[in-house]
Amino acid sequence: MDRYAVFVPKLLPRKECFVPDASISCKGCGEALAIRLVYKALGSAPMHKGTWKIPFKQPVPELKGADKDEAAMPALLRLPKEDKQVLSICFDNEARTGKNISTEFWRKRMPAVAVAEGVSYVATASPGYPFDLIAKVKKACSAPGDAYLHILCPCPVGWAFDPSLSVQVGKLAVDSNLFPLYEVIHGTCFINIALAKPRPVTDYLRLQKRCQHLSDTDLAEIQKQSALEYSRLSASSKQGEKAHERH
Amino acid sequence: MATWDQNKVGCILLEKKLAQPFKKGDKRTHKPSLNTEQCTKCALCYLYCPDGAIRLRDDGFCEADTDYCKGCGICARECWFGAITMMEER
Repeated sequence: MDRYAVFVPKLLPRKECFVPDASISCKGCGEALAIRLVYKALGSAPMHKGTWKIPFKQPVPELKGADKDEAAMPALLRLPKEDKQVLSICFDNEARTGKNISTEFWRKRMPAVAVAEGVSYVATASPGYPFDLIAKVKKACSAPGDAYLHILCPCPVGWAFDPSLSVQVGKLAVDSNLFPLYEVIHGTCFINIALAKPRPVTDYLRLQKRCQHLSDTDLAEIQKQSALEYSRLSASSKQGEKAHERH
Repeated sequence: MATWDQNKVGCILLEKKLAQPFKKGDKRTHKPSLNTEQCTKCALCYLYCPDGAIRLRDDGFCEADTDYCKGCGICARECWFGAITMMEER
């Protein structure tokens, strides 16, 4: 049995902190999966009877326009702290893009805002890469100072794809470089999964019916922009550090 | 425990938190079935189950709890060895 690289019972604690009784998610929910993995990493604080034992905040619905993420972010970080360290985790299922999906919807500004706000540990994660996610949550807990995690949660209902594809979509978002996995420690950026040959964005976007209306020229534009953004990110990062195992 | 077919038309819940007594797996159309000959006990299905419905048994195999499984089919798709197939619910 040791010849298998992935042998989950050896790598993870057996304790199940996620109470399935309280889960009122849809089937194949990427957010429920992400929450379960986060609880597994934290090792405590069970979700019980539909209530969260951890402070929970919905995004500010009154704010309209493209800047709502940036406006909500400082409010999140200016929680009353009283000399305590705060770990904030954003479970992003891109619900607010709604029907207005343009060629810009995939941009994630929240981690950049968190870096600009001076958070000492900022990272992005996806439930498609669970061991990476768990390692990042553990790292965020042990890191000195505040921490911010941005987790992209595939939503089968909102994005309109088959529920069994949730994990695959989470992987494809990373593999197509639309959602690169990186962490910023005290202003220094490390890319965790740097792919020599990223998948084309059409693999990721054509799976989802919410992107059905995007024409081929739109997709070409997204491909171009994402390559530009990714090169900008990798230019500002130190590569080859802390590369987690791929699964 | 109550089931969803005992509910009113349109599954209307008239009181707050009335959904709590219902089993979460009542509405599924497919359920996973495990072929123990192909299973290597890697427990990837256990890792990827969004509802935590798959339990690790003492003998190493993973078993889906039919009370909580919603039948999404992630376990069947993520199994590298094809040991899990989705059967139609009867």
